[in-house]
Amino acid sequence: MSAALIWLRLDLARRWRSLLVLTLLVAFAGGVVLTAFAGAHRGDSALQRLRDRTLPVDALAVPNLPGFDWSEVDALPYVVTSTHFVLGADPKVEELAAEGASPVGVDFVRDDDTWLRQVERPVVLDGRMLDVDDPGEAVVVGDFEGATGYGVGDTVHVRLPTPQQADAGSTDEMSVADYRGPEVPVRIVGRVLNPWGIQDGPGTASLVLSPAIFEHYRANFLGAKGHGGWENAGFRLEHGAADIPRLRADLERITGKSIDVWDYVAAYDHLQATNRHEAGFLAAFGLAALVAAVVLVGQAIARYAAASTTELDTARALGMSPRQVLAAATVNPVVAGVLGVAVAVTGAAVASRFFPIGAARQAEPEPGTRFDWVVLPAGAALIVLLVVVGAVLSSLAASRRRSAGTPRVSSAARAAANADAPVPVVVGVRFALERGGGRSAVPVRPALLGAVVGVLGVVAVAVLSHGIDDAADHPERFGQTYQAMGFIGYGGQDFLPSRDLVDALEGLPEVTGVNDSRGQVADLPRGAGSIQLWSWTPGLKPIAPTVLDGRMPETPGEVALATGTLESTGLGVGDTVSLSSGEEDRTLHVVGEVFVPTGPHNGYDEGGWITADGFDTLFTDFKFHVLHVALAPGSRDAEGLRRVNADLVAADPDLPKGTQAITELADFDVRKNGTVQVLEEVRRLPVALAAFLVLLAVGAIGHALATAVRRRAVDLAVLRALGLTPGQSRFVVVVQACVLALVGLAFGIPVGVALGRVAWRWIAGFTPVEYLPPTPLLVLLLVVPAALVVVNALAALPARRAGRARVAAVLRAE
Amino acid sequence: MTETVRDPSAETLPRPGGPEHPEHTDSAVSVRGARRTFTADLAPVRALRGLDLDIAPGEFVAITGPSGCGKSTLLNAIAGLDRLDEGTIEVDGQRIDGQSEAWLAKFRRHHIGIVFQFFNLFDGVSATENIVLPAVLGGMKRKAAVARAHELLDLLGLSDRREQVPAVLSGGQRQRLAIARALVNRPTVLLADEPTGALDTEGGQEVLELFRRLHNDGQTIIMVTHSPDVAAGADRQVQMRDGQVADAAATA
Repeated sequence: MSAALIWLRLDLARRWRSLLVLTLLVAFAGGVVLTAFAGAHRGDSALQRLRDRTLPVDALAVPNLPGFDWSEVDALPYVVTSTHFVLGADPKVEELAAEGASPVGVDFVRDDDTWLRQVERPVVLDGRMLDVDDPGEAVVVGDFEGATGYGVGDTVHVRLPTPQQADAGSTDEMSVADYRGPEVPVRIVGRVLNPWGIQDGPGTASLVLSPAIFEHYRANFLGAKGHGGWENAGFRLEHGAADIPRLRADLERITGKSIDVWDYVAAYDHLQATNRHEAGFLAAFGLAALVAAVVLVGQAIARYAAASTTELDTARALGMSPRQVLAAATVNPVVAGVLGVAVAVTGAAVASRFFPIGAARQAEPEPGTRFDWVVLPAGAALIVLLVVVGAVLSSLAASRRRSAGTPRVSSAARAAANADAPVPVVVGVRFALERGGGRSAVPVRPALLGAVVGVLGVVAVAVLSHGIDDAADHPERFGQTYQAMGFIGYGGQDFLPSRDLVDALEGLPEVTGVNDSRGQVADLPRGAGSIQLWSWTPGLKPIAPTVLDGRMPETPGEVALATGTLESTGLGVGDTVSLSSGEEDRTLHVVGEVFVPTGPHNGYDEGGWITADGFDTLFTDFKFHVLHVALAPGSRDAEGLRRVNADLVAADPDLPKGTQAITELADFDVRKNGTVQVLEEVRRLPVALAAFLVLLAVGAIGHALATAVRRRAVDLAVLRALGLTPGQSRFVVVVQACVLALVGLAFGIPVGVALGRVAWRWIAGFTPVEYLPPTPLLVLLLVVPAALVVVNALAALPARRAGRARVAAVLRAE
Repeated sequence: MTETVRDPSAETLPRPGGPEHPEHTDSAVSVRGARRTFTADLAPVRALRGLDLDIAPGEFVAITGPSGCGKSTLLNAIAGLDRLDEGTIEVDGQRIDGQSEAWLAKFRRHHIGIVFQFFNLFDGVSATENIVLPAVLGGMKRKAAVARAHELLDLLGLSDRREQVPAVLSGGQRQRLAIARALVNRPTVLLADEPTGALDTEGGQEVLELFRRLHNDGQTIIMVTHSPDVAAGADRQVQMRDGQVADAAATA
């Protein structure tokens, strides 16, 4: 060991720069890898840690019955906790009037403190929990301050309607100025987090009022007669989701009606699955970075250990044992590795404040810097082990390589020579592809691999980004193939004549598609939940629903199900599914995997399409009746909407003058609920990976070019002695650099495109979003000159050195 | 007789028998008042101190002298690999001092063949390719270069080693290969720096015999050597001391 320490001291004095570079390489690569894995672990566990601490709601029952008495339901033996929330007049915040409602708004008002204490008990991230007895206090969920400018310590003013206004209903459509009830100053005392608050995705934020405000202003919420609203309830159940079928049956028994019961265990599991996918993506990033680091940084470690072993030949002649040689040759890279890992662990801990990423970030109950005691120590130990193994194996290999065989000759260099290529070209190709022998040997694989990996990283990220950009810019990728809607009926009652409207709309030139969509909820067999079905009524101008697989239904016995529904039910195209409306049971053939219109109770990946005839055989009435309208590009704004409504009235004299049938421009729901935001956040990972790979590639290529000129100085000097001009010497290095780039492009582009598409297909699958193979032509065209520019920039200094070499001095030294 | 040869920007490829300097002599190599000082280990080394030397076409000259007397510096200066601080050098009637690096490189292709003590062959490249490379550099088409390489390998007794890499050749064979490489463009002058220094006696004799044969065919050879035995094989020995010619004597 003492011999090894002496060697360490000697090397520290003369090669401290190399050791420093080695340390920094390990630190950088290790830091990236550890940060990624720790981030993945944190993201994967975030929601579960939050659920463990917050007693999340298992089921939500939404009978929507004014005056319903919950006492019998609350007393059911498997109900652990029940909590009620008010659906009545909306409280409105004066300060938020300008911002509009969604996604920032006021959460349901609770009628007691059970919701915040025994169900969905939030974690306090900032400030404190509100006082349940003080109507003047509130907490916020999500990035409320970022969205509104009001944060902890600020006061906002909540306006309520009068009891008479609440009795009249329709407070949704009133503005703050319309409210004539009390104004309550409410101080924001804390920022909290619970699963309930993040269910709508990132980007949403809300104000949670104290239950005391309901107690104080009950009539302003429910009306003087108590008919202006109702209470629904959330439950924690003894056996979680397993008790939901019982709850559904008991509710039906108690109310005499089929009551919607939403499975929040499944909803949170779905969020968890999304987080798990993102964590998997981050782990895959970490794994890719680890592989790249092992190959590229490992080469540097191997080179160092091998060079030390060769140098130690002299020491061996002086009596150093093979074991001492091994120890001496490996101790320096190992010390550099340990120091590098220490820096990497520190860096990963510091970087933890930027994690989790994606949807999991909003679920993190302990945001900020966090030392991952599972991943970081284990990862650090693994990296040190890799460094030790790499150094030992390289040293042993170097010991055995003394009687090395014939250096490999590249067929490309031979082909260049046979093609009568100029000598600098032949030599440059040789320098790029051949290791050479003896003291002039330069490993070429790291540079070649680096070039491939660098190009691959950039191309793969460009392909992935192209997919994300395409999705962000095209609502139809998420199934939203319409731009406007008309809400024309509810609860089996139409407000407007749907047939006349559809006919009139189909006659308008600015309308490119119409679907007469009736929506109703059907139950899956064996209490497996319920799904929202929409009627598919293709007429003269059908909208074009997004079909991922199979086709749209054509007969009453067919159904096309949304991708999320297929996943949760385990069904696939070609299977049959039994659906029940309560009155009718039907077995339908699943003929397509689709996206559906987003509704009040379903996302675009939940539910299904059924033909109008099929709808009528299953249901006796509808819950929602909506016209989904696709507009020509020039009409997709408020002015276009006004024109459509005016043209509609002009086209159908039976319609009352001034009818505003198409009232709503369709929001890009996935942008609204943060899905696109998550995608864009997810994109940061591969961008970081590409930057990492490009840095490693630049390091590997730059090092290879510089080393080649240094180690092959004698070869270059001999060539100069044979008549190579200084310019041709420079050109040798330029050719070498270009060959590295071309090899990188030849392999990196196709592999990068394939990898980018695989990654996008994976992300598209769990988002979900329609997958179309992305091809970023511009990037693919630009990457070629860009790669050549980069390698030539890297080659500039070595080429200059090659051209200015003092031949006589080099040969004299030889 | 023009001045174009001295124009560093001239792209005209210098050829044997090309434009001559007005002060042209009949020598293959003519060195006048050569001075060269360089720094080694932070100390100035006066390698050449006003050296004069003439070597006639077809002459085989051995330059001898103790280490540090300037032998290799003189050889490098004649090859255009090192520059004089003062003095002139003519090779085949052309002044090479003061020329650009590019001009010198092109000049070397056709006028200078160099043999090194440690061969300096290209590792991992076949014997044929080691010779073809400078031939192509000299403007020869590849096919002709390969034929020329084979001709030289046959001539130097390496016909059965054409496709082998230097690493598998003996020391003598390697040096013969290096000599073949130096001769591929039919140089005016063959310069050899300690060509037997890395060889055993037998190998040294092989190389010396080869030089004799080349000399008999009219090749001008300038050989630097420490060995009196090797030097004895030359027509003339030039003894150097302290950067100057100390003595010159005919040996053959």
